[in-house]
Amino acid sequence: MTMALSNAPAVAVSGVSHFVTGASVLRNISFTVEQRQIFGIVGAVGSGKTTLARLLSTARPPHAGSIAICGFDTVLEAERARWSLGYLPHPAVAYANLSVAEYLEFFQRAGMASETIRIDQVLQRTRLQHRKHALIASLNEGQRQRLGLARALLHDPSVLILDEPISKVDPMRRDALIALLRELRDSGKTIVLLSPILSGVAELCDRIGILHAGRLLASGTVDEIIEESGQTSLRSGLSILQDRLSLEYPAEDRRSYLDPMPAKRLLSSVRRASSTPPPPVEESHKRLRLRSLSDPAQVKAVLSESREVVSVEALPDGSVLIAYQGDETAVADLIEKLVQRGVRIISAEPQHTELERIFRSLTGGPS
Amino acid sequence: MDPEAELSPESRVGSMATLPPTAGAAASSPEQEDFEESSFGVNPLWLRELWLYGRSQRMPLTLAVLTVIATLLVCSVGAVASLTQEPARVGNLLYQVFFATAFAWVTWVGSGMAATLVASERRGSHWDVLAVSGVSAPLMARGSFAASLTWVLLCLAMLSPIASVSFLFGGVSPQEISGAFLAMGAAGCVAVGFGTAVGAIASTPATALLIAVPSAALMSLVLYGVGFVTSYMVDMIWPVVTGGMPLWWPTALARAEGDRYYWLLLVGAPLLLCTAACWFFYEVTVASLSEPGEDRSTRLRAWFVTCGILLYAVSASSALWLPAERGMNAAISLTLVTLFSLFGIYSLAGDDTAPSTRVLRQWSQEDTGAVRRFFGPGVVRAMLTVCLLAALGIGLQWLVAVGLQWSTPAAHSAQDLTVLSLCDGYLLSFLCFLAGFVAHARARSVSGASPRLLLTFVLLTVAIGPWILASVFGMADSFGADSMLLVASPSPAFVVALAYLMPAHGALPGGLLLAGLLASVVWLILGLGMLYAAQRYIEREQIPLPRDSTPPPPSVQWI
Repeated sequence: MTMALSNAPAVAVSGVSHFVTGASVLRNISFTVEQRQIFGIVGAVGSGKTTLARLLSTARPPHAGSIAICGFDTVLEAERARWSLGYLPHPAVAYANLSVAEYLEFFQRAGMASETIRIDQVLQRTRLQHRKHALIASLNEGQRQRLGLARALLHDPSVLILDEPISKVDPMRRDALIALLRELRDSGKTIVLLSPILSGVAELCDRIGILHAGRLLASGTVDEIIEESGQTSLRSGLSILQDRLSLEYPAEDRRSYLDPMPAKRLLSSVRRASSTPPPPVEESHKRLRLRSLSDPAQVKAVLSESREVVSVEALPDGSVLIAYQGDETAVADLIEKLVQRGVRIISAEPQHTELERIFRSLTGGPS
Repeated sequence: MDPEAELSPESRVGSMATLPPTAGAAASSPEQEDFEESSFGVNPLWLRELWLYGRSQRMPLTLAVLTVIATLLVCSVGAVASLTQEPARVGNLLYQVFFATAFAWVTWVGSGMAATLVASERRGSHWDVLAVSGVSAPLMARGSFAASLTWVLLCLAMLSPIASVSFLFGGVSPQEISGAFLAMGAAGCVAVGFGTAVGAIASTPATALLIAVPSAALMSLVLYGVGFVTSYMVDMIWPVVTGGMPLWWPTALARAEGDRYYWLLLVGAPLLLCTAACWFFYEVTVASLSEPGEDRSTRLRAWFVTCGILLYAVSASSALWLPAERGMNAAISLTLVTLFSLFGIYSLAGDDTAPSTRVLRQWSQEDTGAVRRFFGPGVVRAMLTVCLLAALGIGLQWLVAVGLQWSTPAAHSAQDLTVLSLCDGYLLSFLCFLAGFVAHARARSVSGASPRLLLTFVLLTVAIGPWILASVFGMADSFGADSMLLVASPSPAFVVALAYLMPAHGALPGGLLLAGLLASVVWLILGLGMLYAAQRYIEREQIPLPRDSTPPPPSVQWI
């Protein structure tokens, strides 16, 4: 069922702009995604993610520029492009009074479903077999996302466009979903994932792009973005400047900074920023997110005894964020110590603090 | 690079290898249609709605409440009427009351139900998924129509036992009751089709409901009134029908003799009208549900041309059946041409200004011929179609008149034919002007709303403007036949004035004839000029845009 032009990138976006009621939603977006990659586009609410997802999915034609899915133009060859892609919108599923099987059967009958793929296959693939006859209304958010994925996989596309698949899923189910996406990538699918949250996306994606106010501010691998941001370039300087602005100045000033503005106004912003001392940035500290079945206070008490640990912060979801110094041995020591003191650890994930800082500096969000 | 050449099995990614549709295929590709028909044969949207109906707790409750209310109504009316009336009259009264209620229910609720269903789907979060998954607009339109009609038919099925009460009283035959249910089914089809079309156009489900239900209510009341008035006329043709009974069609169908009027007026005409209405609503729904870059014009244009030819052929041939009433036939024929052309201008004013790049590519790949392209997207082509069809209608009517003049010269004067020719020419020129005006306005606007609004304004201005001017300049006091024609010459009222005044006036004064001719020539030149200007504007503004990187100006459609 899936098809692609040989040597064509899975997704090629070139100079795409889109307007809604005269206002620009996306401006001159360009990127490519090679086959069998996961490309994450991270952006805050209102940055244009959903519009971009709609354009990528062929649901809307771009006002300017072009998008090709597996080499097929989404406007001129929309049908062929659609055969090559599966789209998971946000929210993922509708028709709450249908059962899982009925929902998939409806799309199998109505759309371009493969005659060789059966509902049981996609349910098995998305681990929803046991919920086959359950009503959609009774599914949790993670299961709904998986059902949406199952529907998108019905015609066995080579590219998946996923709009916010993990944003409303709780951490436990998010891990399962991320594992599923990895499996899909490993089975040959190309995934474009749009998300408002960075957590989890950076680890999952081969490459990421940062979308803000309709512009793709950066794209590449996580290391590339960090490296590029660290260079003493005009862009880096602007990022740091933006970082200061984001801390010291109101949102309106930050917004205006991101838009094209006269040189005079830019100079004024630079002067204001340079007169403000930079905030203390603890770039050398690494962070670890720890989930456990124990009381966060107990974890905090144990960790406070370690010299490597700089700070411990209890997060709303019950996990703790540990800032520490040292390498992987330090992490191993910390975990060992926690286990010895009776803390029941579920998971420990390194956090890309550097990437988060860059994301916030580029998009003007609070640090 | 030829995509077909690149599609080697090695170049495909993934595990399955079923052939995709051919390049440039429409939303419902032949392969997909085959798949739908051969593998399952049931519209999936209809099936989905049946599943949802099955789980809905409101549906049985609604049907039960409806049945109870209808039973109470029929029993109350029957009880009150039976105190003073004989059973046969009570039966007839109950029959009228019951089916009037059923008619209201079917038209109001059917249209509202269909409008809400389609609008919810169209504006819902899952619409993109349906479109991207290959659910075509025709499939969607048919499914929504079938689902809503199922609901209406379920209501009728629930009500059917109550209808038998009127039969038990007497005065009504089972055939009449069956015919009335058939009429309710037909009314349901039209109402649901109307609701579906409104739902596809409306921006929100609430808007759809607010437009569909009051419009359907108004139309049903008008139809009910028409039924009341026409019952007296029908009584003259078929005395078995009692005057003053709005629901006369089933009675006439069951009791009248099967002559040619029976088949023409009781079977053929209703069938054609219902089919044409449902077909129109279906095409409007499909066009509204289609994507912006798709061909949303051809099917609607096909409806317009087919119905136009049929209508004009019937109206022209009626002159052959009733040759003695030539004046009346010509008036009816010209009125039909004018009304249908105006309807066409209003309907097709929303057509895309030009074919999208997607459609052009599809035409190129399929090697589409010139005729098929003429019926494709493009407001100038649409308006030309209206003009050509009007010319056909007027020409047919004129040919019939000439034929009658030639065959029976003693019965008709040569002046009648001259008047008729002048009326025909004037009307055609004026319709050309309206078509050109709308094309010109549409070429410079983003939707069909402003051209329609401007057209209404122009029609009103042209219709009453000359009379207002005449009054302002003090000509109103001295209105005679000549001055009336002179004043009317720039407006379509000229045709009416000419037709009504000439028999009394006698000979045609050359000055008035000249005024009429001059006005018609001006309308024609203006119309053709504006059509040409619209086409030039569209060619200049439209073609370079699709791959430009600058924002679109507000007056231009990109896709």
